[in-house]
Amino acid sequence: MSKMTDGHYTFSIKSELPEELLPIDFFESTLDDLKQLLSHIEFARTGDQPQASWKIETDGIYVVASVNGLPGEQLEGILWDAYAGFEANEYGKEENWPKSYDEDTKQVIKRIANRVKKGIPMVVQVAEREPLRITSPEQVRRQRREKYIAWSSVEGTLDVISVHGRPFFVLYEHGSSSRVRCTFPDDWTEKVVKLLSKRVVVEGLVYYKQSGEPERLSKPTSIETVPEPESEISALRGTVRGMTGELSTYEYVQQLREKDESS
Amino acid sequence: MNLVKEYWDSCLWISYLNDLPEEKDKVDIIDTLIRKAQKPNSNILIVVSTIVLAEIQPRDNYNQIHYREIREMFYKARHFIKVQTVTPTIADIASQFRTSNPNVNLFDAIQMSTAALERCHILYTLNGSGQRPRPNDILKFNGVVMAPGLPPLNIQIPVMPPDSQLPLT
Repeated sequence: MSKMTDGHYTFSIKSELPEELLPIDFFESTLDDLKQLLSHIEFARTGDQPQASWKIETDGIYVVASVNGLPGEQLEGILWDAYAGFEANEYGKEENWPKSYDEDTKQVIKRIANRVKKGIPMVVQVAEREPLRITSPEQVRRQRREKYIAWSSVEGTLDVISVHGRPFFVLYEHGSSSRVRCTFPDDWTEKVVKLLSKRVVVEGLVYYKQSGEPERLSKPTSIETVPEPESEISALRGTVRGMTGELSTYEYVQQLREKDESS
Repeated sequence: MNLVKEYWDSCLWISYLNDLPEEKDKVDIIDTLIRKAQKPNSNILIVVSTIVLAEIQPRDNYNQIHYREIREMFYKARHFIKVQTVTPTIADIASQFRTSNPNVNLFDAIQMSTAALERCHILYTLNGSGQRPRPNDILKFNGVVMAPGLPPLNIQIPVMPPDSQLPLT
């Protein structure tokens, strides 16, 4: 529940999806929108350039803003207006939009709420107001698309490192260029930065789409670079001569597989 | 540039590393296909299953040189090779397929599932090219649909690409 704690007023947008199922840009986009929203409201209410110092934090799937720099009443009013904007948008009543909202401010609310349509249900919370649940039937369809979760590995080029909130990087899978969002522990940051733009294999809990493509990886257990080859592959022709003994390749493979089947 | 995915069965790699004189024709074809794929502007991606890595092992006297050469082939960042792990989806498709085709070898089923799920344009194999083909050679399953929604497998024995054949003199 949102509340005033330690002299800070908090406002939270909590996604109801597990972190692993959130789109890669969820945190950054929502944080940017939230800052913009609060700034718009403050300007509209005070008529001055925004002064409140907004401290944005992410803790797992939470987006929390705590504030100082303005009188408590003003801070509280801004946050209630922010909440009221979500409420007005949710129930579609034009007259319910707070007076501090102009069209730009409404657009910010709509932008955040539109993420719900993409299957990300959210709960908006602020002190002394009932939690406001914004949901959509899309949620069910989205979860169904996540068909498999397994301890496995993904190979690709490491890119787009974010240490904002829960650290993650994006892996562009080799061969498909699928974007795989990989969260990692704080103490991996130095190592991960060194691997930027390198081809790596990451092991961890992989979330696969129904198509079989990996979409996310969490709880990584290892990350290793895939070394550059020392020679062209064509130089390897005949380098393991005699590997099939007296048998032809075909006979060897047959025998190998029959032996494996019967053992 | 459209990516052309080719799945390569273990026997192609074994044949290439082994390079038996009596298999020279086949190895020449494999060599040509490899050289074509490894060109910097190539649009060919060769897909292999991690199963292949486990299968490619000399029968006798497996030594450090063999080990290094095999690692050099697969465990390096080659732009034209993708080593695909056996994911739950692949295992699931292989399992379902073997339910209706119980005589299909497990390794074959995994490789076929990998090729299907990766939507490879072709699955190259030498399995079925011998003098005594067997009922469950991979080649016999050309055109099979491994699972609903997946394209039929195009399973072929590799042939020399037309643009790579040397003119007769």
